[in-house]
Order: sequence, then structure tokens, then C-alpha cells
Amino acid sequence: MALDRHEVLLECSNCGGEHLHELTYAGRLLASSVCSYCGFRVEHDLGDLRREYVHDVEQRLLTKPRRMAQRALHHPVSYLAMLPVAVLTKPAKVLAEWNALRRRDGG
Amino acid sequence: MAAARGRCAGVVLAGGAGTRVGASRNKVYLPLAGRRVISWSLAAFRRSPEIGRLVLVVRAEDRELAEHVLARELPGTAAELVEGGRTRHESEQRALEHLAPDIRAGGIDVVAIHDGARPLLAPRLLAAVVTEARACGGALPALAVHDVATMNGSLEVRRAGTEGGLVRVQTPQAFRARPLLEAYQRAAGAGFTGSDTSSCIERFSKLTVRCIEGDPRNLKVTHPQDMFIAERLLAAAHYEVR
Repeated sequence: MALDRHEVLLECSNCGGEHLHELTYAGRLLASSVCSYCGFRVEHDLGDLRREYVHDVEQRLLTKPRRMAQRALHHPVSYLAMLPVAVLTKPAKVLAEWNALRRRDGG
Repeated sequence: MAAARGRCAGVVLAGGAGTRVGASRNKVYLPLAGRRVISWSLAAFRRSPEIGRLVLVVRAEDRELAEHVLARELPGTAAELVEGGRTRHESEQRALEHLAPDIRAGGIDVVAIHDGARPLLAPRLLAAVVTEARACGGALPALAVHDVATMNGSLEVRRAGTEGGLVRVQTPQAFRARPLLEAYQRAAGAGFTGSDTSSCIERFSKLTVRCIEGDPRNLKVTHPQDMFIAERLLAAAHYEVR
């Protein structure tokens, strides 16, 4: 369960109704959506998704210092409070996302 | 124009649609390319030199989430949170009531109202509707519809084409502030609930509302694939909408 999941009401282009959809994300990238009513699935091609995920992680790493500096500037207290937790959990989160993508067979 | 700089108020609606099932999240808070949908919508307003005040209309139960998203994704943005009503019309009315003292004092000359589920608003489209509203009273972006037909009760096609000048309307819709406020006050008195801002203006004011060329990229997140398309468009623009 390393990929983020969000449930939201959207219009299904298959059954035409407004139903709950489960959207799955790999990091910042949308991986798939499934209609809870008819099961209609829209998904990112798995090969493309893996390539884009790796590229996206590179971008996240490159921009991390700037984003951390901005956060420290605007919210120093909450930034300092969250920093130890983030340092410990972020690498594990990225690793878990990547493992989930490797295990996924596109089905 | 330097004299007009900052006298427009932006109102971004994040108050209700797509949230009728208890457990589901409001779609404007879905992640999209590293931010929430609503952050992209607000970012276009933040970058515009026309915008002096920015109002975000939220559901009461989303207030905490909205504050968190603003602090994390748009630090330093002075967005004022207003709780929305049961309908889009009511949400717009509450936003206008919030801005009313500044509108009456002449500090705001135009109000631009935008659907928070349209994350790909280009600042130049926002500038164009505000300029047009200032010039003629009201403006909305629209795209011509070419592939339409009408049919009768027996499903026979009666007429094809766009002789009636059909358009697909987008947001932001901008209007001169004082007539807009007055129209909503009259609408409240008459118990009227409009489907969008221009429907209220049409009925309760004499303002001329003009269409300007919309932007095909300015999509509204309605279907799941809209999220995929929006993500692609943002990636193609290196996560900046120009």
C-alpha cells in the first residue's frame, strides 16, 4: 500500500454517472483511476509511469533544498518540528513507492 | 495600467461540487503535479498584478485543509477564506458580501470569479477578462462549439451546426464590482438562484457581458481523465501555466 490513494466524486465517461473514483498516485504522478460503480479504469502506461517516476524523483531531489529553504523561511517552527520525522520517513516512502511500481503488473 | 493595478478582486470557488458522498474528498484538493488542484487555480491569481484581494470560498469542513494547503503550497499568499453556501450562487453571494465594504468604498472596481476546479488558468486569460470587464461591464471566456446538433422527441436530427452561435463558457467571469454586488442583492430579494455569475447579471443588471476567446487548456476537472490531461499539460509547460 505504498501508493497514495484518494477517493473523490467524478463523472465516469464509461457509465456516465457521477460516482466515487479511486485515484492512485506514485509520488506526484497520477497512476490510475477506477470507477467504484462500473469498474472502468484509466491508467498510465506502466513502462512510461516507471520512467516518469524516476525522472520525477530526480526533480524532487534537485528542488528539495529550495523547497526546504522556503518552508523554513515561512514556517520555521513547524519546519523544525517536522524535520526529524521527514528525514527518517521520506527515503523509506520513496523506496516503498518504487517497490510498489516494480511489483505492479499493470492489471 | 498603473492606475488600475490591484483594484480587481479574485474569487475562487472551492465550495461544493463533487462532494455529495460523505467520505469523498472535495476534488479541488486532489494532488496534481505536486500541488493540489486549488493551488494551481489560486497561483494564477497570485501572479496577476491586477489582483488586489483574493478570496477563497470553502466548505466549513474544508477550512482547516484549505489553511494547510495555503500555508504549505502558496506561502505568503494573502487569500481570505470565506465559507460558502449550499449552491454556487449562494457561495458567490457570500464572497461578494465579504468584499462589499471595499466595493462600496471604490477600492475594488472589478470582481473576477473562478471555478477552483479549473487549475490551468493562464494569467493572460485572467488579464483579458478583467480588461474587457473594465471596458464594457462584464466578460467571460468562451469556446465556439462546432460539433453540435439538435433533435426532436423522436430523436430525429432537426438542425446541425452553430447558427445560434453556441459557445462553451469557462471561468473566470469578471464584472464591474458595484453592479455585480447590486445584482446579487436584487437576486437575494427576489429569491433567485442562478447557475453561474452571468445568469444573475443577465437577469438583475443592465451590464453588457461580452465573450472573449477562451483557452482550450483551461479545462474543468470533471472526469478522471481530466486529471491525467491536466498533469500532462502542466508537465509540458514545466509545471508553469503561462
